[in-house]
Formats: sequence, C-alpha cells, structure tokens
Amino acid sequence: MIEISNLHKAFKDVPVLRGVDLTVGESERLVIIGGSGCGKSVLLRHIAGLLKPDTGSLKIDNQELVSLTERELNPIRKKIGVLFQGAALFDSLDVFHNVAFSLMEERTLTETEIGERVAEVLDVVGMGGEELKKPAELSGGMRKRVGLARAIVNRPTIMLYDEPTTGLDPQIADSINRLILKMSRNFNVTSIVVTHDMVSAYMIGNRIAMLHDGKILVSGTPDAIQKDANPIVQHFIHGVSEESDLDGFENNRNGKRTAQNAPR
Amino acid sequence: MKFRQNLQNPWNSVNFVNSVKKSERSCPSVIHHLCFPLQMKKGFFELLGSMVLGFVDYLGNVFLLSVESFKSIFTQRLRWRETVFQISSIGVHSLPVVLLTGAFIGLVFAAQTYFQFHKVRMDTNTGPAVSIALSRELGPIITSLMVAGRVGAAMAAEIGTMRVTEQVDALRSLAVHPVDYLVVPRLIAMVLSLPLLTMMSIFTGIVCSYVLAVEVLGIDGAYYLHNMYIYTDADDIYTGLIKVFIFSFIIVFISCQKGLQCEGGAEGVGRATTQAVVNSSISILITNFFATMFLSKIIPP
Repeated sequence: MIEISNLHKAFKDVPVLRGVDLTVGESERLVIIGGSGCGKSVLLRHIAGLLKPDTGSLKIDNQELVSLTERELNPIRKKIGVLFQGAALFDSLDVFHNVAFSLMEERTLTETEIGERVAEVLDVVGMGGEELKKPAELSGGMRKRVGLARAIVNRPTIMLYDEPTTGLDPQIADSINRLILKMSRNFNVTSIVVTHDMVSAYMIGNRIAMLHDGKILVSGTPDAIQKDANPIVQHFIHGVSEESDLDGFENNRNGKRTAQNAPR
Repeated sequence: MKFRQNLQNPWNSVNFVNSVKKSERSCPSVIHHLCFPLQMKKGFFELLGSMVLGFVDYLGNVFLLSVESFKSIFTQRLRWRETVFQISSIGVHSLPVVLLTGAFIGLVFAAQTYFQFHKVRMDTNTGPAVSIALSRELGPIITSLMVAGRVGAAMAAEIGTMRVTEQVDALRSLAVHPVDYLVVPRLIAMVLSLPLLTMMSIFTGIVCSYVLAVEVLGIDGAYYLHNMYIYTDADDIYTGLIKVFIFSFIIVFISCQKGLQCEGGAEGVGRATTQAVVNSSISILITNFFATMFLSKIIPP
C-alpha cells in the first residue's frame, strides 16, 4: 500500500509537485497520465525513493520514507522494481550480469540458483538466449525487456514503470504493455505506470490518475476518465491541443511580438 | 530589466553604463546619482558572494563524499571484483605513460643539471641532484598529474555518463549505494596503484639519467652511483610516498564528485571531465607546496 499526501517538490525554486495526494492499493494497476514536464516522472522517482520531497508524506506499507537516509531506504527499495525510461542498463555488464546484479549483490543465492533465476526471468520477458550480449548490441525494445527482467528478478511487490512504451514502435509497445499486464497478474504486484500514451493507459490501468499543475487533477477507472467532464482531461486523452498552445505560432504569423517569438 | 541583467554581469561595463544613463534620463533624481556606485558595488559583491558560496558548496560536497567513502570502507563489504578491475585500469594501464614520462623527465633533468654542474666541475653530483629531485618532487608531481589527466578524466566521464543515463539511479533502485560500488573500489585501487606507479616512474627516471650521464655525457658511472647513494636518503623516498598518498585521495574524490554531480547530457559530461582534470591538477600543485613545507619540518631535507 502506497500513501502519498500533500507532496511538494521544487527544483531551483520552480515548483513541480504542488501537493500531490494519492493512494495506491495492493495489486492495483495505476496509470499516471499528464503532459510532458508536468512532474509524472518526478512523482515516480519519489515513490522509488530516488528523490526527497521538500514537504509532505510518502508511506509504503505504513513506513514513512521522507525521514529515512539513503542507506535506510535500501530495505524498502528491495520491495520495489523500477523500469527506467531508457532502461538504464549498466553499459559495462552483459545481459546476464545486468539481470543478475541485485542477486549477486545480495549474496544469498548460489551461482547455480542465480543462473536459474536469471534464465527464468529472461524467458518471461522473451529474452532467453541473449545473456552474453552487451546493452549496446540491443534494440530499444530489447533493452526495455532486459530492464524489466532486472527489475523483477528480485521478486518485488511494487513495480514502477517510467514511460515504458516511449520511443518504441506500436507492435513492440504492445508487447511491453502485455508484459506489464503479465507481471501484474502472474506475480500479483502493485504496478504504477507513468505514461502519456493513452493506448497503454487504457490497456494496462485499472485506475488512471491525471497529474496537472503539480496536483492530481482527477483519478478513476479508465471508463470514468473517458467520461470525465473536465475539458483539460478531455483535451489530453483525445490528444487535442489547447488554443493557448498555438498562440505563439499564430502571433508569429501575424507579426506580433510575444514571449515565444521575441528575439533573444 | 536590462539593469537587472547587467547587475548579474557587472563586467559588461558598456551595457552597464548605457543602461544607467538611460535610467538616469527617465529618473534624473539625486538619489539615483548617489545609488549608482552603490549599485555597482552591489553587482560586484553579488558576483563575489555567489563565487564564494559556490566554492564553499563545492568543497562541502567533496568533503561529504570523502566522509561517506571512509564510512563505507569501514562499515560496508568491499567489492573485490570491481577493485581488482580498477587496479588494472588505473595501475596497469597507466604504466606505459607513467614510465615514459618518468624516463624523459629523468633524462631532461639530468641533462640540465649536468650543463650547470659542469661549469663548476661538479659533474658527478648530477646523480644525487636527479635522484633527490625525482624522489621528492618531480616523480610524485608528474606521475600524479599524468594519472589525474588519464584516470581522473575517465572516472568523471564514466560516472558522469552513468549519472545522465540514469544508471546511478538504477544502482540506487537496486539497493546499492553508488559510493560503495563506484567510489570505494576506485579509491582503494588508486591508493594502492599511485605510490607504486610513482616509484616505478622515479626508478625509470634515475636509470635513464644514469644511462645519459654515463654513456652520453661521459660522467664516471662509479662516482655517479656512489654520490647518489651518499646523498639520497630513505627520507626522500618517504616524502614522495606521503605526497602521492595524499594526491591519490584528491584525484579520486574530485573526479568522482564531478561525475556524481554531473547534469545536462553530453555537454555536462564534457564539462565535468574537464573540471575534474583541472581541479585535480590545481589541487595537487597547491597541496604539494603545503605538503613540502609541512614535511620539511617533520622530515628535514
């Protein structure tokens, strides 16, 4: 269970999160949507314990994370698997050692057991037999799969996905979405997915929350979100740009000076 | 607005004066004339203050990294595999460049010393002059600067790239502290490798100076070695070793801090790498002076 209340975060005096309140239940699949730069990934990094909020509370299984030091966070991080936007595979290690990394660091399993566990998760993500390849030899989709294998090898109870389908073609994106569903159903993990891809959001989520202006604007089932009357939500989910987005372009065409087209 | 911009960059004096003249025209008050020097001073002190604060902040970050690293050495498990890899990377792979540098520094120093000593018929004292200078100053400094350039740059670039591609965050998300995995193995490898590299560099320099002095410049080999043994002391070697021991910490902490704090993609990595080498080199040279003065009290030359 993840409970976030009144979470604030600013970078160099620019507020990004302005009082986020969110609760994620066990085995839930929550998709966080929102425009680029609205703070989705920042929120996810807070949940992963990678960022400290300026104020507010963040609890995972009733344990407050905000007051913990970097080393005290490690036991909680072991419960969480993170798939980063660019997969963040370790360049110097091959696929096997990337996936086996956390098991080798923990030193509780024998080498044979580690080998078996790595082979098992690589089969789950469809990357069996690619153990000796270096990250540089993999395509974007393959890297995401290996990143996913690395995140689940330690059997986490919470999985965080940062833009899992960004930069992938629709077919590969679909396969990643299916994998996320498979993880959630087979291993009964709580999943939080940050995305602006609405196809993914409807496919994966049993709840969707929209982040806007540093706050959760609306939260509900995919059906409820589709029927929500808020124009901001409707514009976002249907991919309609707002008139103000085009002001700079229009004014530029008319020869007026605005902040967007002012000479620098 | 322009005035405000110029306050942030008071060295742009033409714009600064122009902007003040324009504002004088719009507001020709006596108070403004009185304020002009104050505003100029404010701009200068703002800049000075931000520079001082930035420097203190930087020193604080390097200090915190060093505290975390020492804490990690004594409380966390050492990663032997990474440490051995780093010893190979820092020590073994730096050997050719360090030996080459040591050799040519020995040669040129022997030649210059001989040219001067020959004028006063002290040719055979070229040996001790070369060996003492190499052991106390030239060997430690040249080796440390070469290693800071080669290895410090690599450390900052490697860790910086890991940082901007989220690999450092991936480490943290896998419950591994970046200092334990990235800094401590490099620190231990550097502390073990740099003194050995320095000793090899000094040895190569002395051997090359002997060959030059005896085979090319015609100094008697027996006297050359005899004088070298008489005047060169174990204390000279210790002085050099103590210095490189300090320099190894400087190189690792400055380079790793630059890598771990790296921001801004490829440009940020480039900037971190350059700053790591420049800051390490300057710190080595400054520390060397104070170490020389301090060690001269404990181990008199």
